[in-house]
Amino acid sequence: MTAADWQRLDPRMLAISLTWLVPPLCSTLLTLSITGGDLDLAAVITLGSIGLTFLIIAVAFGLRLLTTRFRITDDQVELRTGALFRQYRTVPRDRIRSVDVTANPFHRALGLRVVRISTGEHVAADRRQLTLDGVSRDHAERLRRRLAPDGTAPDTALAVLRWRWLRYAPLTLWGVAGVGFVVGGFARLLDSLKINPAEVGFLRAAWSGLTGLPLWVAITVPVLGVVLLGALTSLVTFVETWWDYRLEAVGDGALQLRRGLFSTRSVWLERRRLRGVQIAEPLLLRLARGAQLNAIATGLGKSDDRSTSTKSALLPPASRLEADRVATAVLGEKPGFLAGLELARPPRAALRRRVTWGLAAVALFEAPLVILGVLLTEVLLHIAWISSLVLVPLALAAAVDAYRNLGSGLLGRYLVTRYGTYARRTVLLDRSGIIAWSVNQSASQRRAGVATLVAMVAAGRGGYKIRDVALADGLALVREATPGMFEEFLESTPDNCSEPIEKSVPALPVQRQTP
Amino acid sequence: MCVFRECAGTYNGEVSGNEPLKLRRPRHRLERRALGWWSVQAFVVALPPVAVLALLTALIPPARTWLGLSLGIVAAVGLAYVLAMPIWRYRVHRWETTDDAVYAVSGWFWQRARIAPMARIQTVDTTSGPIQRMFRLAGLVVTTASAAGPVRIQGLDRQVAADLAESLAARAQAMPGDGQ
Repeated sequence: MTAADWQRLDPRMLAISLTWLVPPLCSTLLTLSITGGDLDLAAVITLGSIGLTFLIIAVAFGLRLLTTRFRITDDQVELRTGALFRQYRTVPRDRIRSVDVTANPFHRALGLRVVRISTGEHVAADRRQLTLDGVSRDHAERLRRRLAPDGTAPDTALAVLRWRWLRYAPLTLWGVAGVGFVVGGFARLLDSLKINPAEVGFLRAAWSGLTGLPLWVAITVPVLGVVLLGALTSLVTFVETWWDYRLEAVGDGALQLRRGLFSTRSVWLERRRLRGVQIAEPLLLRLARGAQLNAIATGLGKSDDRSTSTKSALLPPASRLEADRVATAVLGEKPGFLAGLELARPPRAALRRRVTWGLAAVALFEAPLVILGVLLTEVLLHIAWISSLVLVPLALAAAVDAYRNLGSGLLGRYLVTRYGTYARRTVLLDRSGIIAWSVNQSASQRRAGVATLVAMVAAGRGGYKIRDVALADGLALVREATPGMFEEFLESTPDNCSEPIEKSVPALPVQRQTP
Repeated sequence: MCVFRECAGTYNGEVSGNEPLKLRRPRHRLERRALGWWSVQAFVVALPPVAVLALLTALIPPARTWLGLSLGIVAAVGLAYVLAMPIWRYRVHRWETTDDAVYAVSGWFWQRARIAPMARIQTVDTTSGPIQRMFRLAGLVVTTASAAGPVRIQGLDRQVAADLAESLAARAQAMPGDGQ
């Protein structure tokens, strides 16, 4: 085989395209077993369309496979795909920064491997990666040896998957939401198949079994079931998401993250796009001394509301120590960097505000109970005072915790802000990445002399808050964090009420620039 | 110390430590016409719920007590909004541009002071809605690369806004840096 020959993917990949037929088969079998082989027209149509969709996907997958050719010349790697929509992609060989060989379980079972060729910066985004999905194991190894850059520094692993992190997986609570999805999906499936849940044998048996039990058991058993199922779902999700996880530093300028069981994902992150990191500790995870680590970088999903999304995650839910260690390595700082973190507490006014919010929330919850209790029945009044016995201490504890979690300060090149009680977040922002500031105050904040400062960055959420800091302290912090940006608008005189204000806009308030 | 009501636009820091810093107010106020614009805007927001409740009160006699009560509450809140908001806003809203930055204070109950350095400015636009046009006013929208929203200066004279946009764009372009 000479260098310039076009090569095909391994024909065993056709077997993999057949795996697309597994879901429709499963759903058909499930329906048959539930209904006992008695299908009406609507069910046949539903199942048929599901089957047809997956068949089309499988055929498309197979066609793409048969039409894929690749070739390695002296200068570049070329890839041609598609029968109808032809695609031709090339990667210059001298730009190749890393060659990955991965495999999901199906690939592994058939002795196949995926070769992923990544280039670094200086290349347009859509050409950063080229994937040869499905070559034999030996072939993959040959390709890796041939294409891997020899001149560049060896990649150093910053973190690899440790199975003991699995114990943090159920604590992220996404599993419980997952159970909701599954139950909802199952109910909809039954509905679209025109099956009445009450007529399905095992569901009816479960229901009559439950109603036969005493009330507290009938409540605890399903709750326990949902929690257990949720934990299980989280575990499965964790394994699927973080299988084969590996975070590497590629030379000095970039990071590469790889993960995933059935769908392998790999993220190439140039350090110059990194604006900081966020360490999030949702309540349960915090109790177990665990944390999540996310990158704040341009191009990793803008205005990402769920700032702990897996898209920007650098690490699976792991111990806080591990999160700190990886954060330090990702930021390129010396080990122990985060140990020197000292944050300034906001004034007591911040605590007062949180206590007020907590009690107001309880009052808002109790008010309808009290009003209806007075108007209708005394039972509601009893419910109100009993629930307030639980809710008031809970609200106060949350308020104190929220206050104790507040903090801000500087650490080396970074501005650090911490806040949140349900999920405590510690955000480290590269000070040079802060592009604007906002100083927000509500009427009550003005009275208390505190403000919420928002550092604007061109990444992640866009703005990161320093909550309820004393205004003077906050402005001093801002001045230190971003020297020069604020200087001309700051003053330290105690009073400026009497200062005359120009009444309206002058004819032309700014001098024209002569370009 | 300032009294809160007398200078709502001042960011008045609690004196703590030996450096009691605060933000000074931007130099320029908006046009007085902005008062009219905000009043009309407040009216447009407050009128529909009041009108709907009034109609219901007139049309459904059995529920007149409850509907009338809610009408009274909504009307009182709406009236307070229409009367207070524009004046409060007018006292707060200020803006200023220097060689290095755009500085704007806006809001009423919740106030925010925004500072965007000239070097980080990506685009400068003028906008004006139908009501704003009625009062010959326009707004200036200065965006940076952050997804957290642009700096807005609403309620400028139309000509002033246009000139400002032009000069800001020219200066931002002359500055090194691309907003990253």
